Amino acid sequence: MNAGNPSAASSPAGSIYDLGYRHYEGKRHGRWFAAWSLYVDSLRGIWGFGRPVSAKAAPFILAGLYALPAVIVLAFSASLSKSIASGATNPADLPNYANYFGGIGTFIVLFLVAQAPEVVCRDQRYQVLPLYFTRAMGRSDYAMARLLSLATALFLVLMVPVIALFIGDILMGTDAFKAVGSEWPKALPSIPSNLLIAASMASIALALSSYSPRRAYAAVGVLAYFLLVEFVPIVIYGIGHEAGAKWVDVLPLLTPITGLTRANDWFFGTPIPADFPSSIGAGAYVLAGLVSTLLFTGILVWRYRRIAA
Amino acid sequence: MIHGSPRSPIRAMPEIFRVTVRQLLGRRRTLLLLLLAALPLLLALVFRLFDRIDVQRYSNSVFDGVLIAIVLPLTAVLFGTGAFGAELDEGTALYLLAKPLPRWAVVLSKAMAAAALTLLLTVGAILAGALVEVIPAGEVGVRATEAYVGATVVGGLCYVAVFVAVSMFTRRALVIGIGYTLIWEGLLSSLLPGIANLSIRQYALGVGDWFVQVGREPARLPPETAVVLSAVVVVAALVLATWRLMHFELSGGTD
Repeated sequence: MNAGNPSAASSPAGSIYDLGYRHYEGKRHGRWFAAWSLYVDSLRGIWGFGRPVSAKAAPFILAGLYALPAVIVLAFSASLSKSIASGATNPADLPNYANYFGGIGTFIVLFLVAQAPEVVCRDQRYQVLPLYFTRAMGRSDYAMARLLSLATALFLVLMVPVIALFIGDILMGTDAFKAVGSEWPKALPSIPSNLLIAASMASIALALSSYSPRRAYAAVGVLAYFLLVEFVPIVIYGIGHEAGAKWVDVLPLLTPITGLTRANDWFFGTPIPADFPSSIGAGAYVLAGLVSTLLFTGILVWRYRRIAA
Repeated sequence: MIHGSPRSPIRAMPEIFRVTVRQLLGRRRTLLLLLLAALPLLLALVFRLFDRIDVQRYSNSVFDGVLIAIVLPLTAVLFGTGAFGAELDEGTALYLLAKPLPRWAVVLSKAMAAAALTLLLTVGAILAGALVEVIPAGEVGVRATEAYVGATVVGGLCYVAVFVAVSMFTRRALVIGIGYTLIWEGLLSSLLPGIANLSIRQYALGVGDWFVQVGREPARLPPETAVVLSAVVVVAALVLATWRLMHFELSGGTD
C-alpha cells in the first residue's frame, strides 16, 4: 500500500500516518490567524449566530434588559425634556452615563452566568481541546482568544445603553450640532470605564468557568462567586469599621461589582458615597480592577497550560 | 401499589435513598458546597474577632443575606436537580424505572435524599454559626437560632421539591433554578412586594417569624399563610413530579 503512494513519502509534511488523502496546498496563515479565527468564531457563538434561535434568546434578552432603561429614556425623550424644562423631573434622577452600571449591573452578572460557560465548557465536555492544541495556535492563545471574545461581547452590552443615552440627550437639546459638541465629553469616560468593567468581569467569569466541563455547574460557580464576594467583604467591613479596625478599609476593594462601580466613579469624577472607607480613594478601585483582571487572566492561562488534552 | 411484587415499595425506598445520597455526594461540587456552608461559621468568627455579639445584625446579614438568600437556593438547586437529572443524563434512569416500584416511591425517596443533604448542610451551617455568635447572647440568641432553623427547613423543603419537579420536565433545570433564584427572588421580589405569595424565600422568612421576629420589620407573609403555602408547594411539586414520571418516555442515555 505504501509503495503505491509515492507522493506521501516525498511530501514536505513527512507525516507518519499519511493515509494518502489529498493535502492542503493553500497558504498557511499561522498562529495569529488561527487565534483570530477562534476569536471571531466564539464572538459569534456568544451571540448565538450560526446556532439555533434558542441559543440567541439568552444573550439578546439579557443585553436587552440591561439596555432597557436607556432605551426608555430615549423613547420618552420628548416628554422628558419638557418635564425637565418645567422642573418636574430632576435630570439627576434619570439614568445617565455615570450612574448606569451601578444601577443595574446585576444584568451583566446574569449575562456572564449564562454566556461564559457557553464559551469554554463544551470544549472540555466533548474533549475537542486536543484538536485546537494540535493547530498552530498555542494553549495561551486559545485562552486569550476566548477571553477577548467574551470581553468584547460584554463591552458591546455595556456600550449599547451609552449610545442610546447619547442619542437621547442630543434629541433633547435645542440644537443638535451644538448638543453633540457639549455631549461627547460627558459620554467619553464611559469608554475606558466600560473597557475596565468588561475586561475585569469577563476574566473572572471565564477563569471560573474553565474549571468545569459542565455548563450548569460552571454557571453556579460564577454566580456563587459574584454574589458571595460581593457580599461577604462588605459584611466584614461593616462590623470591623464599627469596632474601629483600620485594616478592614481595604475589604471593599475585593468586591467585583461594587468595586467596579467605584472605579466607574473615578472615571467620571463622581465623589464616593459616604458609607465607603474615606481612606481609600476612587483611584484605588481602578487599580484593584486592573489587578483582578491580571490575576484572573493569569488563572485562566495557567488552567489551559496545565489541562490534560 | 403493584401486586405480586416481591418487596413492598416501603422497603425499597431506603435503598433508593442511599444510592441517591451516594450519587449526590461523590462529586467535586460537594467541595464547593462545603465551602459555602462554612461561611456562617467563618463570619461568626470574624464577628467574635472584633468582639461583637450582635444577634440582629449577624442574623440579618449572614443568616438571611448569605445563607437563606444565596447558599440555601444554590445547595437546593444542585442537589434537587442532581437527584434525578444525573440519572437521566447518564441513562441509568432506565434501570430504576424498570423496577416494579410505584413511581411515587421513586420520587419521594429521591426528593427525601436531596432534602436531607440540603438540610444537613444548611442547618449545620446555621448551628455552627449560631454556636459561636448567636447563642452566647442568651435567650434572644436561642430564639433567633430556632427561627432561622425553622425558616431554613421550610425553605429547603420547598426549593428541593420544586427543583426535583423541574428537573423531570427539562434538562436545563439548573439554569432555570438559577434564573428563578436570581431574577424572581433577588430582583423582582424586592421591587414588587405583591409577589411575596409566590416566593419561597418569603415563605421561609414568614415561618421564621413564627418563632421570633428577628428582622427589623415583620416578614411580608404571616407565619400561618407561609406554612400553608409552602405545604401546598411541596405537595404540588411532588404530585407533579410523580405524574411526570408516570408518563415518562425514556430516550436512552445520549447526551
